[in-house]
Amino acid sequence: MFILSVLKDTIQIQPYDFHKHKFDALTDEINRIYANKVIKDVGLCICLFEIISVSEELVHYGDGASYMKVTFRLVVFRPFIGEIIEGTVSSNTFEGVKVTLGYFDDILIPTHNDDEWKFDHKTQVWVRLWDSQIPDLYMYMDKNTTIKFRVIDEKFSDISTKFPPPKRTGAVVGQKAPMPSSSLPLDDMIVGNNRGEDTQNVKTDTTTYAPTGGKLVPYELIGSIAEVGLGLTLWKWE
Amino acid sequence: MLSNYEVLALLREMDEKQREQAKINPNVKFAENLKTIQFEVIQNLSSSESPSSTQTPEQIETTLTHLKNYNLTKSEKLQLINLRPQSIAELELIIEDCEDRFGMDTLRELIYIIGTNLPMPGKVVRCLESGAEFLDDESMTFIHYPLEQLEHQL
Repeated sequence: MFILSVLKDTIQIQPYDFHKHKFDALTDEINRIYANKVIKDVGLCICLFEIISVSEELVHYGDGASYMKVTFRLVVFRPFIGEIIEGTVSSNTFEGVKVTLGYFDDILIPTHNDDEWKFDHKTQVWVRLWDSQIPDLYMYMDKNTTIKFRVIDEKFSDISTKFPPPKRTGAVVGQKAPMPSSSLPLDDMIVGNNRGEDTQNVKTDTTTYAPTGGKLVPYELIGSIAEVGLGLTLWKWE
Repeated sequence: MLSNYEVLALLREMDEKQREQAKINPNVKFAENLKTIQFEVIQNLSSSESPSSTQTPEQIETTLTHLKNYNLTKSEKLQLINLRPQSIAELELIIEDCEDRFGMDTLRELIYIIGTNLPMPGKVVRCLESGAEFLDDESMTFIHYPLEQLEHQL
């Protein structure tokens, strides 16, 4: 479910963070930029795992902040295809059953490619045939029930709206916080995907992971329960 | 790849650190997005349903040493630890080409290893020897029994 990804980025340390130990300042800054964000083709970033290398610090003209190139490992949520995960049903929609893991909500179990699904209009939930031999035994995908599914596909979509990184919180109380967008231009962020440990430079953009209510989500998982042993954990496979 | 337990341990450690810092300086603030995901992941992984909530590093280590001889891939072992399967049906989902690679006896051994090394609180595992009696549908046999039930049987 979780992997480690090696990323490269230029990190800016604001003067008000200079009292911190350099390592702590970097950790806080990297966590601020990446935590709870989806990076395209990498996954949902959770937090910093370790810092691998840091270049020397540079101070630019007209700016008190110091910049350094950092290579680091992030804990990333990215289940592999075929992995089995337990989640809870969050809603029943037109497309299928939505599943949430608490920290990741964009999991869909589509119900249109399979005859064993039916929509129960009375209770407004999807039902699944238990066994094709027994015609009347249905399983109700009620909300908040635990469900076990296999990841069969993942989708990364490019979201054009870019949100600025969240506000800096390091500033001392009473001091004016600098503009949040004063960090790097997000488009130029260079990150690597560490499938195979080598840091190939891919141009990606970080997008805020937030269920905006709209249809577009940066990272979506497609699940399936069409196998013996999968499905609601209440249906004991005894 | 990281197991759920490792992620949980890392996040808990981070939580501790933040609390300590907050004790020294109550005005210190942490990035909201970090706190959000930290809280949600900790909550999810330490819920009573999640196997990672009761695991310890020693348990995982002994399980892995026991699993060494079974020729499982890394991702299969990871899922065995993350999901703690209790029935052969669950094992068959996790292990690819299960029927070709392992016999029924080996699968029972695997369940036993997982059941003894990563115990579920309140449940005990009984070793099923090959040739013992089974229910009609062998592949679905559970060998986890609630404690009281076993005592009753004895």
